[in-house]
Amino acid sequence: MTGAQSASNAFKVVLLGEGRVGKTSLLLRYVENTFSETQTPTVQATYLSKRVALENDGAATLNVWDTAGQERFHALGPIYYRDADAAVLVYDITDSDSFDRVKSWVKELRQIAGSEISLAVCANKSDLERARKVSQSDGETYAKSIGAAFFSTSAKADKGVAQAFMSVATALDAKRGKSAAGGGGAGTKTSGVGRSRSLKIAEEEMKPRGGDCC
Amino acid sequence: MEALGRDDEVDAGRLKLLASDGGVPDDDGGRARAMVWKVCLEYLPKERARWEATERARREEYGRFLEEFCASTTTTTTSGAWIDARRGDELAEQIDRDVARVHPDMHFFNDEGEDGEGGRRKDEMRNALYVFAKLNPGVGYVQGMHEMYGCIYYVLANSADAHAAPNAAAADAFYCFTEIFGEFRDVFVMELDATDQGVRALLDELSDMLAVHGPEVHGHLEDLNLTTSMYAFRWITLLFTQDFEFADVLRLWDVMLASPRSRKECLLRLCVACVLNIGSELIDGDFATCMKMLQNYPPVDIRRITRLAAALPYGIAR
Repeated sequence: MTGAQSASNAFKVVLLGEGRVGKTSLLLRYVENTFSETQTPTVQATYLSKRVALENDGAATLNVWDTAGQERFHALGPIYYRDADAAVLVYDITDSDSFDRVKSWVKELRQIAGSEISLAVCANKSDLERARKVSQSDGETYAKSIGAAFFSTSAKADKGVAQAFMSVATALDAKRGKSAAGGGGAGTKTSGVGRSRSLKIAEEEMKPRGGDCC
Repeated sequence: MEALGRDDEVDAGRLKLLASDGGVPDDDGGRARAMVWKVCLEYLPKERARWEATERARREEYGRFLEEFCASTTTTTTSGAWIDARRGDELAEQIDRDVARVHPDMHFFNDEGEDGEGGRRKDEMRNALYVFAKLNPGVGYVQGMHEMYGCIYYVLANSADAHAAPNAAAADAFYCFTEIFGEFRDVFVMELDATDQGVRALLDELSDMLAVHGPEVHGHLEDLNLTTSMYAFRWITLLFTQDFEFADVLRLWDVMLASPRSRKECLLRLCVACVLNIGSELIDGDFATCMKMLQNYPPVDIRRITRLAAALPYGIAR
């Protein structure tokens, strides 16, 4: 039904983290290359998609759900991360509570989204080094402990943002390719790359759960 | 706006009828709207002779709340002074953060130059939201309240006597906010989410209404697994304040505040109208297209929406 989407190498990514850590700002820096000091608080998950050219000459579409930070608005959270391929967990390096919140998000994700979901941790607002409360090594150690990629980012200074999303896209693409190569049954004609077949399977599997809500 | 006329008593019914049909004029600096809203929200009684005394009493009471909760009835103009005096108070910090970001594109809230009023206005907003949270600990402060209060405060600060007394507009807006918030309170209470009073129930009701009034577009969105919670949550919790041009938001509020039936029902009918208005585009769209269009509503003559909503039949069985 959604032709363009099915044809592409599409992934669902959800941004999670406490209010005002900079989720929307990271995404707007990445998708539109803009930044505003007075970004309006997000109360409803916002949908943005971005086509990414991968280093292996392939391409992927990231369909990103930018979620609301304030606790009050989490009632509807699960519909955004239930079928997600990846979660990008964001904290503010000047706010140690926001780092704790990332940890509780991970627990919740494990319960609802399972262990298949890829994780990345963004230590945002790296431009505010002087006010830092969470050390880089604490962030890195934690990310490693949950098998997540770690990125030091600043939406304001445009540091590390593109790298973080690119790395998520590359990892998801590789994962999909790998599962195709490993799962390979016979008899299907594909254009040489195992990935395209795996994608089909993945989409068929997704239908009953999430349909086109990528 | 003859209903506001010169009679001793305002004809509230007639006033509501006019306002709900998009009849509040914009060309008088917003004075008529301020008065209409105050009457519709029953902040002002029908008898014109009692207006002055009513406002005076309410403003004095609000002044006492400020003294009790905000330590001072006057506000400073120094940027950041409000929060500097309240460091470590989580409630204050949260309000401060959101108010700082209210309508960054509007001069009214961001007039920060010399003699600029933006800083004072934002402090008045911070105070009002702080007082409200203190007086209503069951709700406290929830993001979105700042948008609702900001909208009312903007309108009332434009009324003729806004400079009559310090905090006058802030006080008037406080009581009007309390009134309208009271009607939508359940939407903001997380504990009610799973009940038939909470926001999810309202989103389901919207879905049911859409199925009745626009079965084709409703069916298409269902096929895409695109639920009302994905786009109407913000319409409902912020009463459209983040989704339309500010002047259009005021028109939508005219209709809601003047609604002779429940404002919640009116809100849902406006939501239905928003979907139906772009129905033909939605029906041709895939998930991404529909999602983007619903979350970034295309430019529209807002009267199309209010008329569509008004034309929806009532009382169709689900």
